[in-house]
Amino acid sequence: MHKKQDAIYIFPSALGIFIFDAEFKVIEKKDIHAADLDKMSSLEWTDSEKQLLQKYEDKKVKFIGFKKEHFPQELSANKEEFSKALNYVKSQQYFAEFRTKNILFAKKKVKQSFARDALLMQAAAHLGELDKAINTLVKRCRDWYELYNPEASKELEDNELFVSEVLHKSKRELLEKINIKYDESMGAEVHKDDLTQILEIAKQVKELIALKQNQTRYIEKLMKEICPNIQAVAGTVIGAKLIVLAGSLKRISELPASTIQMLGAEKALFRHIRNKKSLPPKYGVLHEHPFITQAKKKDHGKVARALADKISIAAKVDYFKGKFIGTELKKALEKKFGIRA
Amino acid sequence: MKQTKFFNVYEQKVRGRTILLTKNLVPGRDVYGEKLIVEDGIEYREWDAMRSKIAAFILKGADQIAIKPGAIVLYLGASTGTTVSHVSDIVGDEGFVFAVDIAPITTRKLVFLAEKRGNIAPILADSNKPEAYLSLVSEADVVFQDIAQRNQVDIFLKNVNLYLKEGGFALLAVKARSVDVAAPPKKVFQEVKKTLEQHLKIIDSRILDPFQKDHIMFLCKK
Repeated sequence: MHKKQDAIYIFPSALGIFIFDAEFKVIEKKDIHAADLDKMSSLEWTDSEKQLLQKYEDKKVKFIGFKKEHFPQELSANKEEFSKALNYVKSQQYFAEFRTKNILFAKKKVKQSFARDALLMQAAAHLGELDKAINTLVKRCRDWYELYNPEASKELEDNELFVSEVLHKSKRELLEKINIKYDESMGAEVHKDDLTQILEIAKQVKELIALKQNQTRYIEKLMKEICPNIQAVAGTVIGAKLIVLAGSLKRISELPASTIQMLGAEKALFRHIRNKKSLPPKYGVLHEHPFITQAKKKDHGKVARALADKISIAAKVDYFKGKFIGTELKKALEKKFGIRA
Repeated sequence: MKQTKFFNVYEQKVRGRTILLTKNLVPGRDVYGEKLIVEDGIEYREWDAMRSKIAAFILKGADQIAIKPGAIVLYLGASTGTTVSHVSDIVGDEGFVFAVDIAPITTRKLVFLAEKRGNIAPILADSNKPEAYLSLVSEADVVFQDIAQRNQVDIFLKNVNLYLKEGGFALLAVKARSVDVAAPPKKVFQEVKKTLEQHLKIIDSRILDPFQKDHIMFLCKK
């Protein structure tokens, strides 16, 4: 029969594995490797812990810790014993070590937590920013340029075309193209230097547009690698937006289809939740999907729901790295709604 | 500038408003762009109540905050360390802050903060599973939680149960909308109060308006 004095406590800590006696005095303290912390925080047994259990198996051992694997009741410490151990390490002599060990471990975990979808999120967010930047600069460029050649700016509605034309063609050439006599233009004459200044912006816009195309190609490549199923069903642009709104590939794989349907419509959604008189939204960013834009108005809700369903399946297949079924999922939708590819 | 009733927390009246400050543990450095003020050779950091719920709690008239020099604090929901840095200032060299956050992107900033301050340990972990950091922390004198999750009260009780010393204090910042987006905040606060009362003694509670909309801070004792 074990007497109270035989009680031994094993308490693993970042500071080392403590072996306490019944009065919580330290009998032994075993050093741990940095790699052990990983196992300990994942609630797995480390070799050191197993060795110590064996070493003291003839004593009344209690383990102060949690493990995924069940261990016998007699081995479990009670709440009071946990508190005593935690109280023991609450000591000025240990805080510096708690700090350094935790800093190292946190760094390791941050590094480990990197998943390639983080790159996708950055690129997708960047695309939105590029759009804003391009629009702002183009507006200014046009405003400024229109002092010189307003007719050409009006004619060249497409921004990309506008910047490339004004950089390569003279005022005369551009006006000729739209059958306006040079002298009839409302635009003023400006010095060569002044024109060069305006065209500096056009140059920047051209480069930003090229960057946007470059980033889009990059996103397409990434999505093909990380989430080909989502890409097949939702398309690159909408797929990327959905993942950004969900937070990560893992998160979107955990979302119910109904939430995926609503991603992007949060304002309308919560407005409806707070006031039932306000109608619920039918879709968020899915709104832009060709299946919805092509469908009859009365079918928008149905299509959005079905689309969200398939995307939710696609997301799970992508996250758990299953076999590619994106094309089939898309075909099922096309068949259901009579859409010809 | 004068000392408030709380150690290492100071206040200044600027154009009729009260601004709180903490004594900078690491003079010469700001953490998040806050104003640094030197008076009589001592450097203080401005503490924005719109960003830190503890500061809001103080400005709403709290009599006790439990966070004081020498305290060992378990801080759940540390985020980028804005409020953690002020807690670090208050507890000082003799105190310590175990700062837990779930997101790698914010923990990165916490690590940088901990590298500059000797009394912070950054922990990347899910507070909903407190067993995971048993080996990384010690017992706490104070538990502070600011986590916007539906089951935030549950998380709070789990951590208080495991890590807070007997007779220790625990602060819980509750965001009504996280618990239930459609219910009126007062109702949510009542529910939370009922649940807390079953396990802890509630010492104080203050609604944090206008500093934080629809938030309440509870100060409890184990």
